[in-house]
Amino acid sequence: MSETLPPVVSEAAERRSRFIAENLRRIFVQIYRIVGNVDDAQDLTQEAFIKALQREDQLKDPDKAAHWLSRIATNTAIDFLRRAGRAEFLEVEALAEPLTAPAEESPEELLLRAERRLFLEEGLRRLTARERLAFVLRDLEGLPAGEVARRLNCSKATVRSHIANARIKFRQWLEGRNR
Amino acid sequence: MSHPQANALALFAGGDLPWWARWRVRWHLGACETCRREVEGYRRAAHWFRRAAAELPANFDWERAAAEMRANIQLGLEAGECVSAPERAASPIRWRVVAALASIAVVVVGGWWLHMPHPRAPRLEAPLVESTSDGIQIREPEGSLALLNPRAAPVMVYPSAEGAMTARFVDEETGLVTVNHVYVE
Repeated sequence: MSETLPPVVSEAAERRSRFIAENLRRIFVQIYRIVGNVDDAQDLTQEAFIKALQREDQLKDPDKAAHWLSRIATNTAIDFLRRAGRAEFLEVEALAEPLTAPAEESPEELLLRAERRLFLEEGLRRLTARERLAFVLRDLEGLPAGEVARRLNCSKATVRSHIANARIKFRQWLEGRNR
Repeated sequence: MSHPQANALALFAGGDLPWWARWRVRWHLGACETCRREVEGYRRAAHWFRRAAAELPANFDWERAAAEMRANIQLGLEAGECVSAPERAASPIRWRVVAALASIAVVVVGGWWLHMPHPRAPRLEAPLVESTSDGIQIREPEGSLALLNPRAAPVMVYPSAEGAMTARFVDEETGLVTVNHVYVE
């Protein structure tokens, strides 16, 4: 008689899996908005999770862990841009697979969402690398200007200038679409 | 009426102006409908940005990408466990203990060294009475004075506990006994 035993999953491994599942999409999108490229965003997301999960003691408090992971993700993306010396961002690669979406979305809603995504990506490409970074960190991540300055290693006045330029350019782009 | 610059309005909309500049823009907005609409426009754009940015990239198969990333993360963690030394986890605590012991050692050695008697070069601060081969000498920082004994006669010299010095000798020709008692007050 043979009996199939359930796989033994350690508590730590279970915690890891849950942590990845809860944060993967958020971190991917966060990094993608900074680097503007799907392939790089995937690689950097993996890197950020590996860095975070190698310090498992930090994962005990889920709220703190999520915040901590966001910080690692942002720093990983900024380091990548510095290493690569990126002045501009690459095109988003169109994948062969069809767009997946929740079943309850109507074709009109799907179309609208797709249009909005493309429009956003186009708008962000109009910004310089530093404007984009400052804009994402301030207006999307909600970091204070001082913290953005610290992470970009520049003065608060410079960061304010990047943020203001980005907001003006982005708004002009957005309003141009609506005309 | 002069209006604030577009940069100032864009920063004001996100609450990024320093307080004095914020106060000036707010004062202006109280009386300027055009600038109020500008600020509102920046806020609408920021709201749109936040909503749109939460979306995944266009034409992107999230399920497939997520499965790939999960597998690669697992692989990366396993590779990391293979290469990392097993005792590395304990090292931060060990370093703390070593640092604490080193600090204690520094304090103990420093205290002992400060309290240790150090040999010092003799420094003459008060007059000193001493016996020399020539007689009895009073030595001071500024100079010395010697009371010479006769070379021919045998001289008996007695020091005293109070720091005085006595020399006694007999003149062979006259038989006269001389006692030199030298002390410092």
